[in-house]
Amino acid sequence: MLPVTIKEPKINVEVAVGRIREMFTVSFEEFFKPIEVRIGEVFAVGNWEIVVAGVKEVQYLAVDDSYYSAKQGMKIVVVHVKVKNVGVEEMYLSDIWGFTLITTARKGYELTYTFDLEPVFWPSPDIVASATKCISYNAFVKVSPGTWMEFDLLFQIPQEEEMVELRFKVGMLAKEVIVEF
Amino acid sequence: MVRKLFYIAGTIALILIAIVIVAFLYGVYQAGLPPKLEVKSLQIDSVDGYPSIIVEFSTDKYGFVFKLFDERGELIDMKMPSTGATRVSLSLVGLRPYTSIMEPKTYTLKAFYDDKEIYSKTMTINGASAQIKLLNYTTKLTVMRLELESLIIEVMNTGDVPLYLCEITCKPPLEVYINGEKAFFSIDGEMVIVMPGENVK
Repeated sequence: MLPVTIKEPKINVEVAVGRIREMFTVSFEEFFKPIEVRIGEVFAVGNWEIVVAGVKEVQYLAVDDSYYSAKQGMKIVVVHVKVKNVGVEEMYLSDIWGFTLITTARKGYELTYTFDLEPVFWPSPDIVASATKCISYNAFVKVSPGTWMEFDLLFQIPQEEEMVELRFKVGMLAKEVIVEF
Repeated sequence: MVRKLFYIAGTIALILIAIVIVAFLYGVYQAGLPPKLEVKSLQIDSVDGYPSIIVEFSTDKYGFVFKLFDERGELIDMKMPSTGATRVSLSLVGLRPYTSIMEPKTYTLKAFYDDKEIYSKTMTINGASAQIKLLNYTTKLTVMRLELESLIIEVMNTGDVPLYLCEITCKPPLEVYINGEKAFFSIDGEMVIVMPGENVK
């Protein structure tokens, strides 16, 4: 028959012969259930092996030769991620998407970029020494089969909130992954 | 003596001619009589893809024709049984094969001999009705894509005429909708005929 791509946890199937019609609901909830892992745990999803290797709050950030700090009342959270393409074709990092950091206030924060941060134009030697170097996530980077790629996810959250978990999605079907900190 | 012999021969000849004439007239009379037709049973079946009424009968003479009419009196099908035949089938849907009759209909079966009606019976059929159950389904997981590959359904014909199931050629066709959108599919086995009381997977 078909095939029909399933995009929702439940689909309605109607079979009809003239005026005879029967409606059924088919559940794929198991498939759509999120993958729940802990930090440091390697897991496989789609064509990827992924591990969220670490998470930390930083005061200063170094990206290439530039330095940044959080905006007033905010703090920077860096999540370090390693991924391996276990498929047979090159994959874009955009296959891993929809990153959201959930905090103790049960709020979700999307990725932040350097242009959302406060640039530090003349960093002191202390800032240079203490700044955390990071490799920004770039959705357009290709990963060859069998190779690992590392990148950092940047978030900016209010200082009074603590990070609880990271959520993201993988693939066209948006398989959800929840990483508990 | 010879005259007497001629007389006797003539008499015999006349008697024979009379017998022949009487036999001929009797034959003509008999030929004009309608056959004694007895319809033993009427059953519905699928014959070469046509939902049909099967007429089982006995008769002492052939040459009559069965005609099937719909409720409007329109002729749908007719058959002249060949000599020795005891059953004929008449299509309930004319020349439209693989048509499921989906609503109650009334038909009249008549038999004619020399345009003289020798049999008539009106019958009503309820039409095809079905209970459809979804038994199972199969899926295929590709690169982060879940595909619904097949649906296994069970159809029970609770009506009294054959139900034809196929994608295109049947009337009405079997249709499948996924979330309200018509899905393209093919039936394993191409054409499924579900007889009354039967269930088919």
